[in-house]
Formats: sequence, C-alpha cells, structure tokens
Amino acid sequence: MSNNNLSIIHEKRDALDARPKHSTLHNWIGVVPFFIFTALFIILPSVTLLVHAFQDNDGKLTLMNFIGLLDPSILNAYWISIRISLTTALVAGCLAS
Amino acid sequence: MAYAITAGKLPNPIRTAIMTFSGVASNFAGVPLAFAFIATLGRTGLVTLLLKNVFRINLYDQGFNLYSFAGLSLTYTFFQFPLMILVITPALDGLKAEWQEAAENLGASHGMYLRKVALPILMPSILGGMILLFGNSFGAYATAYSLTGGFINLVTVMIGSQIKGDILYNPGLGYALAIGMVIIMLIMMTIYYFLRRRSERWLTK
Repeated sequence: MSNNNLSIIHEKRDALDARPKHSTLHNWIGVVPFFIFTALFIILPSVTLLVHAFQDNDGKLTLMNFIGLLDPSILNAYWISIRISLTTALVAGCLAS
Repeated sequence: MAYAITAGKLPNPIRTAIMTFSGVASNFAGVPLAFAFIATLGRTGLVTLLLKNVFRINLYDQGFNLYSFAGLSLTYTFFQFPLMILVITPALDGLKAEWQEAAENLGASHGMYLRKVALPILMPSILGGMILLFGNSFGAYATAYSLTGGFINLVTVMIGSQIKGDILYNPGLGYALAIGMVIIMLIMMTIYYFLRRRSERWLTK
C-alpha cells in the first residue's frame, strides 16, 4: 500500500512528463529560413554544377569536360591547391593551438 | 598560442584583445589582404625596404618571393591562424585545471601532461579545425588572384578564367573542375572522419 503511494508520487514528480511530447509547429517555423537557404544556395547550385559538368557548350551530354581535367596544367593546379591548403592548414593549426 | 591565452595566466584584457583581433583578421581576406601583403612584403614593401636599408638584408636576394608558393602560404596563414585560434579556444577552455593537477600529482611533467592528457582530449577539435582551414584555403580565390595575378595556377583561379572567358572560355571545363574540387573535399572529409574516429576511440571504451 505504502509502496504504491510512493510510486504515484514518483510519477508526478517525473520531469520528463512535464515536457511536451513533440516539437510543435511553432518550433519548426524558426528553422525554415535555414532550410530555404541550404536549398537555394547549396543544394540547387550543386545539382546545376553536376548537371552542367556533363554537358558541352551546346547542352549535349558529354564526358569531354572530365577528359579535359587530365591536362597536365590542370592536374598541376589541383596539386598546388592541395599542397597550399594542406601547408597552411597544418602550419596554422599547429601554431595556433 | 591559443593555449597560452587560455591556460597561461595572462591578464584578461590581453585575451579579449587577441580574440577581437582574431575575429577581425580571420575575415580579412581577398583583395585588401593581398594589397596589405604587397605593401609590407612586396618588392618595395615597407618591411622589405626596412630590412634592406637598415639591416642590410635583402629578402628577395635570399630567395624569398611574395608572389610564389611560400609567399602565398604566408598570406593565407594570416587569416588561417586567427581562425584556428577562434575555433580552438572554446575547446581549450574545456580543459579542466583539475586534470592537470591530477596528472601532476601522479608525477607527470608538464610536457607529459600535454602529450598524454591534453592532446588526446583536444585531438578531435584540432582535426575539426584543420579540416575547416583546409576547406577555407582550398576555396580561396580573390587573395590568390589579386596577389599573384594568375601567376600561380590554383584550381579556383582556373575555374575563374574558364568561366570569365578572357582568353580561355569553356564553362563545361569549369564545371568539371568544380566537381573535381568537390571530390577532393569529399576525400578530405573521409580522411578526417577516420582520423576523428581513431582519435575518439578512447572515449567509447
């Protein structure tokens, strides 16, 4: 009997029950701008990028763009970019921390 | 340096000053930054001439050149360094003084504490900061372009020249170059993911 009483009190004090179970619509409205922004300025450009990478100047499907990437000057540019990014990231990262 | 301003017993105003400076300098990129470096370390820059006339050291005779790989790295470091300070300071604040005391009570030297306690705790944050820096300088365009004028061929500069179409005009190739950058970034993120998992291994045990 007393044990039963205790458990009732315990349930009443349970803070988890005091919280709303689900996030309300109200909360979702706050993050809508974020999703609009990502959709417009990250996802949409990435998709266009991917589509246009496989098209030539007339809009026909092609792989020539990617074959063009194998040009030595372009590979060199990639290599310099990677090297400079790694150097600065490692140097600044080690010195700053 | 960030460790010095958090764990070191520096007066608070110094920390505020450094953090404010970091906030400004980490956003100081692009054409203004390139100009600032040309004006200080360029061929007739302030520091170059000072060293030459007062200390008789000619930087450019010693093999230094601002418009080279080393010069560009130095310029990038100017905004990378403060950014790293900004992102790593909160993590360093999380280091509890008790941990150091405990380590020292058990007979660890300061260097041992840094290597065996502080570094493993900070490793995920440091790696995260470094991947941020990598992405930051990988995508930088204006600084490199205005500093070297396309003398150093970065991928971003190449994309720019393919799309603007002064001499080279092939937007398709530009798009493909950009996809290549995305792929490299994905590879870096994968490496980062595995390194991070490795450095967090001891947390899950």
